[in-house]
Amino acid sequence: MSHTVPSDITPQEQTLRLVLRILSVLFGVAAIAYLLPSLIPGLRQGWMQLPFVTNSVVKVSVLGMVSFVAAGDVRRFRPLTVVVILGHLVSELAMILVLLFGDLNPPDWPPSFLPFSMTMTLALAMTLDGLILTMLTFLFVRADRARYGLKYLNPIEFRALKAAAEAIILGETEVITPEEVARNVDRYLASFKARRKFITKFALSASEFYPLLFFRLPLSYIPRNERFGFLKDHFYQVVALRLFPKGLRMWIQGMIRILSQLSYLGYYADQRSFPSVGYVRFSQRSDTPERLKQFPTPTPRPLQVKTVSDIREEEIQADTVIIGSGAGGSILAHGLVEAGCDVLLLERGDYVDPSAFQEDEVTMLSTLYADGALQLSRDFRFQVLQGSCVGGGTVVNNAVCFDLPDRVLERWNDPQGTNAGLEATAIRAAAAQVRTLLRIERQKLNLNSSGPFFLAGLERLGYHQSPNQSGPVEANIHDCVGCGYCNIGCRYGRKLSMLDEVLPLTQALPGPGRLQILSDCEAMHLEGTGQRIRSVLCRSESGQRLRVRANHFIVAAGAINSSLLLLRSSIGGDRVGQGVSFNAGSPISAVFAQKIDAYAGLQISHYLERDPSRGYILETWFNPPVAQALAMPGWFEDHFRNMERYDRMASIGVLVGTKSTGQVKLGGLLGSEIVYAPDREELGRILEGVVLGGTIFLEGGAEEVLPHTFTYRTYRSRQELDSFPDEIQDAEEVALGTGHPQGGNAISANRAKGVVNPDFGVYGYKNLHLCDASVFPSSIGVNPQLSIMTLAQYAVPRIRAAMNGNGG
Amino acid sequence: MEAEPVNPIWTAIFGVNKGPADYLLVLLLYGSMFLLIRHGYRKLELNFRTSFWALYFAITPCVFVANYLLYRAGVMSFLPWVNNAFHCFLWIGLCLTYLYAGIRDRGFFEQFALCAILSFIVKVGEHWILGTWELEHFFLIPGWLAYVLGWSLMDGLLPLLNKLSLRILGKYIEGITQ
Repeated sequence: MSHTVPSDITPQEQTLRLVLRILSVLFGVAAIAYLLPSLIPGLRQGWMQLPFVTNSVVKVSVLGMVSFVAAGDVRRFRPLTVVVILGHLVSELAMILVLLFGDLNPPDWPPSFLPFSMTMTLALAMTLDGLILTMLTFLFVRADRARYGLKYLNPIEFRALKAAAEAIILGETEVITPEEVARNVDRYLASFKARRKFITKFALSASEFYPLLFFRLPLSYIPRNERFGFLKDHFYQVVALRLFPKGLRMWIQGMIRILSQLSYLGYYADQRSFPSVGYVRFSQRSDTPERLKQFPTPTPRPLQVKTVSDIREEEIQADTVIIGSGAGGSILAHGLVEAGCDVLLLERGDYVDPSAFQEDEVTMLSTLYADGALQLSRDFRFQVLQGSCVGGGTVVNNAVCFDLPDRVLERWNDPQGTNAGLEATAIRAAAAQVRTLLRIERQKLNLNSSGPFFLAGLERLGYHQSPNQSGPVEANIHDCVGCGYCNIGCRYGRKLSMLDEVLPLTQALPGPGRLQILSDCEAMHLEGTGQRIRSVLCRSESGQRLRVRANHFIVAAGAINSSLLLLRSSIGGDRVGQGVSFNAGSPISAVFAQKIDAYAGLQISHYLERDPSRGYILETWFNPPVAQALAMPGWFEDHFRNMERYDRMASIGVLVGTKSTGQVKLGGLLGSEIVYAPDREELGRILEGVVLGGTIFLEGGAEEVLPHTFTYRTYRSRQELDSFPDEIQDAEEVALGTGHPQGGNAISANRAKGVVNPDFGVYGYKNLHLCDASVFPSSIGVNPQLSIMTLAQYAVPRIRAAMNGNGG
Repeated sequence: MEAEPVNPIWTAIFGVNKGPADYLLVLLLYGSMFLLIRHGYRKLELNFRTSFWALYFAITPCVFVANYLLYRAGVMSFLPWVNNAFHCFLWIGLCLTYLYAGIRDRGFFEQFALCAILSFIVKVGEHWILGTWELEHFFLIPGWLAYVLGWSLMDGLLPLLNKLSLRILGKYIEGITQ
């Protein structure tokens, strides 16, 4: 009777083992072949004069022995396979150097028994070594990939991440192993629909080899007990203590940021980690059935959406094309269809029916944000988060609504300034129309549980009174059930986003106008002759191209993408992409003595706007675990400990309207880049806002507050917190991000100052209009979605008039 | 030592004792000038592309022929055929029209000065490399400098000519932007 012991290694590893065994035999034979002629009379003289023979014997013998041992257990002795590969690589490099710079005609060459010249001999040897190198590398990578079941990362990246996660997720109660973290990340990245995700691969590979600069082994080979020290010294402290020059520091900061964010993603997205942080998903909360019973989920409105792959033709015809289905594009579509136009709405993101929204953060990040989740400024220090799906940012924002501030409109209309030429009365009327359409209301149900602490703090500080404005926010949210999923898509139909409300309403409008929607359709170039745009060339995720011809074109792709589209199309001149501004945000978190479960309520529920304006507003804010982990202050054990206190924490976001000093450009590492760094004055306002936010929470009962800075800091009293701004040298220290990019194609009655005219026509073109946040001449300093929608509503009759006039 | 006989056809095409290598230098000169022009105007605006090519095909062949006729009339020196082609189709057609696209909204004198100055640099460069643009008078004004300067100033009027041409072409070609 025979017993078959099942192999615990994959078939790919078995192949690698077999090849290593064959190589060890061949190397052994080669060693003998090198030695043997020296014993044979006649050949002896030639061989003995060649010192490389003994070296070669040593080389092939060592390689043979290493291959033999490596084949013994390809997993346990994995590094030995690397040694064999590297040995061949070194051999190749050495031979290239000899070929380039060596003496290829030595006096005693060729020996009598070799018919080849030195060049030919080296070429043959290089070919042989090259073949072994290529074959072994291929088999090695394939075996590693099969061993870990990798879908996106290569083994080097996987091992780097595993090694980093082992050091970064540092606590006594870890419930997920570093290998599981890395596996999770590999799976997430494989499903992540973002072209820019390759950045993570770069960062992981660079991190793996970064220790070589310090004469250390690659990251995954550094012993576990030393790796934490290495990461702390050479990633964290070189940045915190500014030991390296700024340019280099930027890359190192980028690397540690990506390493840590991937680790948090792999750990905190895994539901096994939820009990350890005290998080309960909405579907499993005890009061969920009651909440859903009290406010039943409305019946979803049907929405007809096609994708590019549904279209067989390479070219289609439309009357009016709107590029972008976010706040601007959808309101424009609604207004124009209502006015009897046929509109084709193009959206680069996917269409996801709200009923298909899930509670899994990573899945929804991938589906609803795609590349919008990975937008960083050129120096990697400023994140610009944007939704990318049918409905745009309105599907994933917090639905917070602020009217366009009067002072901002006055500044825009200043004849000595931008001279936007917007009619204030018509703007107010448009805002009122949008408010009615989206049923914008002050929120009162299932607010964030940090609210009472925030309000108590305000009261103690006296900021709760007029003329300051504070309290629950206004939002296009109706009967909120408090799932806390605003940023990953509300599947309960409470957020009246473009996807849930405006687009279905528009498609259902009676009358001659109709709306068609094409998703997975990224506008790449506008094409035209003279002052008329004829078509827009689009591309799907899979690379399928579609040319859409139309009579009228409206760009509403958002501040970043509208600028990029115009730049790619050579439209708008040198001003396109200039003067970009943001509502830069920086959070501060607070820890309370008791469990408050801030995740179980409206994500942004309260705000404070001081009067006179200090140039910032404060908003309470909290997230499900992955997003919160990414924004959680602290590194290593501090981060882990803070996540353990997740259910006792609350956060405030400070929103600062920046100056219009940013740029959106083509070129750079990723084909396009956002250039922005806050100046001292902006940083000062951010820090002032952070201190005020922390003070409010401390007064409201928090035990300590944690600003989000690169160097971990905690403050337990107002006196301590007051020193915070003095501790910050520059913006490099503070975590900054935004979901509100604005500007780039300013609206102005003066052609020399703007890209679009007061009727939203792009200067120099008869049938091209642009209306989204990119027309803002400056940052508005509050959540911009209502202002974008207001401008779109205001633009409808003006664009319609242009369509009927010259542009028709 | 006996001088090598001069091939008249070669000379008519390339110039006296000049060959492809010299023209590579001329291309380098044009390239540098184009980079300079492009520094101020990075991309040809979409709405001017039809106008650009209309100007290119309408004006450059005329200038090419005119250069020869003016030589026959005795007011210009002979430009070897390759030199004339390069000067018309590359320098005037591409570079100066591109420059015009970038500065057409500016004042007349600014347009005039920019075209004239760049044209002067290119003429002196071609003279230095190819030995062309060699005549001792500009109409009745004597001197080589007067000749080169005179024709450069004439090139300064190119924006005016372009504007006029676009006005006329606009009547026949769709998509012409002034």
